[in-house]
Amino acid sequence: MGKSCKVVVCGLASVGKTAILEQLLYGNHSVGSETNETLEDIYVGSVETDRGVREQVRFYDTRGLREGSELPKHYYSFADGFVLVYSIDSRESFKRVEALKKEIDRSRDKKEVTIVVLGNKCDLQEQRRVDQEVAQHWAKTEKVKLWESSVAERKTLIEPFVHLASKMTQPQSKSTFPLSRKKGSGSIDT
Amino acid sequence: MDIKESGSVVLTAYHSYTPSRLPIMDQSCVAELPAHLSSGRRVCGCKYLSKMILPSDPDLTYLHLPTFAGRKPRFGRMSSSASRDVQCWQVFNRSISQESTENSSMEDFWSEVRNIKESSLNGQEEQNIVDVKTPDEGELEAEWLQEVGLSTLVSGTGAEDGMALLSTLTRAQAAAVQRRLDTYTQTTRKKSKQPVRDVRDIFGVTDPPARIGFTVPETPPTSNGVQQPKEQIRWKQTRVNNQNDKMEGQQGNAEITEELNWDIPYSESLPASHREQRHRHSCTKRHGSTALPKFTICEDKLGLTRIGDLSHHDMKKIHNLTLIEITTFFDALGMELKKNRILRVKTRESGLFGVPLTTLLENDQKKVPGTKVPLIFQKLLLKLEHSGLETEGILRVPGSASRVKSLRQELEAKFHENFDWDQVRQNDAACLLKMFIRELPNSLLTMEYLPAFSAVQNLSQPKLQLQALHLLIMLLPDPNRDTIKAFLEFLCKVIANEAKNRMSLWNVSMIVAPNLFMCKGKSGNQQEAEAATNAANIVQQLIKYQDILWTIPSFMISQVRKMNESENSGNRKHLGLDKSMKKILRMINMEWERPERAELDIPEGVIRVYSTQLSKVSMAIQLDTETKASDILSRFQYENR
Repeated sequence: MGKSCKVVVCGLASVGKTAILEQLLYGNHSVGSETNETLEDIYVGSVETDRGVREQVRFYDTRGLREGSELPKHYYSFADGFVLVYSIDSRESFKRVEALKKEIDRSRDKKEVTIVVLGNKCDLQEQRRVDQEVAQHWAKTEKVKLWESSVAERKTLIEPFVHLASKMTQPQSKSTFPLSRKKGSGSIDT
Repeated sequence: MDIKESGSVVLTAYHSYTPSRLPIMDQSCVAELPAHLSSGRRVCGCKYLSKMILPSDPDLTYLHLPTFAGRKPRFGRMSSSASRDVQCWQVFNRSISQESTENSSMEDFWSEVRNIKESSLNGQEEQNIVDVKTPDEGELEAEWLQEVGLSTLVSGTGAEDGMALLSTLTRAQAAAVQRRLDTYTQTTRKKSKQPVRDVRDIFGVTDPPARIGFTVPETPPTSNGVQQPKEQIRWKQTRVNNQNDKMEGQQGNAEITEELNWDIPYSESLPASHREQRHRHSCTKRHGSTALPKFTICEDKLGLTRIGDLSHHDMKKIHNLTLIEITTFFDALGMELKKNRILRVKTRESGLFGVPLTTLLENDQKKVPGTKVPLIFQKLLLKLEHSGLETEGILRVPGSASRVKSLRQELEAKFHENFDWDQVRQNDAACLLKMFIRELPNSLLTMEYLPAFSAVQNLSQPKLQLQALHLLIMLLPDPNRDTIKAFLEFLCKVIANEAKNRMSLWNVSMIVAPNLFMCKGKSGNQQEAEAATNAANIVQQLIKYQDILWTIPSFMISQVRKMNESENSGNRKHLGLDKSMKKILRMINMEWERPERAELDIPEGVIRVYSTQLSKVSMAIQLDTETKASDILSRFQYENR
């Protein structure tokens, strides 16, 4: 139990954080069902990594952020990984993701945490406000992985979380050598 | 977590966290397992077997054992090679009949032994893993001290490390530690190694040292320094095996109920007459549940602590304390705590049968996090509970050997995929269950302490036996203890259905005993027969007293509590904490303090609900006047929708 990774899922209110988790873990979320505001829920799931082992992950589903509200500070300190969620139909939510990324960098060392970004609701193409190119470009400069996803299609959710779990549980031996670390991270992040 | 119970026994500073057992084979968690065909070896353990070689003559594999003592066995045909064995059986009969007629009921035991033998004939036998060579004394003591958690006394560094533990010991316990340290020092001196710190440096020369003095029997150990009132409200534990109680009620036996006092360490409460007494060899030949007295636990003011309630960290301390306590206990009774040395044997790393429990659990935990009992074992028990409880002679009646063999192969190949449990018959499942237990490389009761378990029967009083058993159970590694518990719970259910399946407590014990005890029957049949009764008696006690045995005695809880307290005070001074301890403390802080601080951020009217059984483990919920418990439940059960 001590080994399970802690992942904080955060982003602006009603971008679909809870929907993503429930669709991912149970696969029974129906699009457009009524929403309840989350305060803080914790899920335990096991995710298969690309090395073929199953890892236990605790997902912290946080309360959606609003204008003027900040993610409580303690989340930054204990998490092993973050899932930053925005919705492609809201520019504001993307801005919030950028701000969150900055805040994480401020409080944690880059090597300590794994961050993935999800652009949710990509089925709503006609209401798109966040350009995919722009988002991917930002992700590249920040050296994080970004996917566009939709709760309606469960398989768009699998890859990001497998990636997250694999990175978080990557054996440490690699990174102890400064040279190989540069190489390794370069090839993975780009 | 049951707040009502564990809330009061939380030790000093932190909660215990026990990951719950998830439902077996959670749909979302079932993963495909690479098919491992059983290419590995089969460990056949029962050493009764190696003594009684059955002749290869096919007729003789169906030997009839006498149904009552004195009756001669009938054989269809006898080859010359077999006659020796037959004599051996006859000697059995005689010795049994001479002793008492009760032993004739051991028939089941021996037929079970025979069944095991038959089932293992096809697989190659593996000889005993026990190293006979005894190490020299100094080594033994050093090992003991290390296991007890006082390795610093041996290495001679970090004087404060052991203090927390030492300060909680009672005088008798301290004496036992001292004795071992003495022998150790002497032998190392003899070997002219580096001198080790003298005992007197640790305990002080002046006799009753202040810190050790406060757990002498007159004053029951107190929590938080508050003196407990002498007259406690005692109520009988009704939880103790309701089923068994009922059973006994039917038999109409006026039972003497004895109360166990847990305020005083067992080693302290021994009656004076026993201290000098050498253990007698006269085994009390008892059988049947009628002979077992009833014990009740008197409830501590702070509640009862089950074994699963404590954190891993505290369990380690319990283990250390138990080892000291049991050594003291056995010392006081003039018995030797015999311990087998384990020779590491290469075991299979994957598969189901013949795999060490720990490996099995590691593999299972990757599939179902928080598993404490191997999935295959759970599944077998579940199968038997569903279909076998009312089958007459369940466990006793063997399954078909060929079917079991093919089932086993099939299980090894595709247990984690889509094994069809409906095709398995009850008796075959029972056979597989017993096979699983037998083929564990390190025995369910651990090879180390197996002799100690057998020695328990040499104690004269049932109460002492129970106490010794209790300490031994505490000493077992967690996976073994959890697995045995699951097994014993199942056996209890079997016994509860005695009316239908005709398996009484004694019957079940007899069948289970040879599977659990791979006793060495070295010297003659007389002893084998004795060992058999012993083994069955122990199993009987394990089944009957499991509720008591799986509760941590309160004197240990208070000792651990005291240890934690003195450790914490040491912590403030930055003394006496080694790296691993600090790491553990840091982990605990991470686990528990942070979420609590988080709660400060949550506005009023919000509750946090934990449900460790579901994959949604925790939820913060805003309450209003309309909220009902069912609303909260329904939010948790989202996954079942």
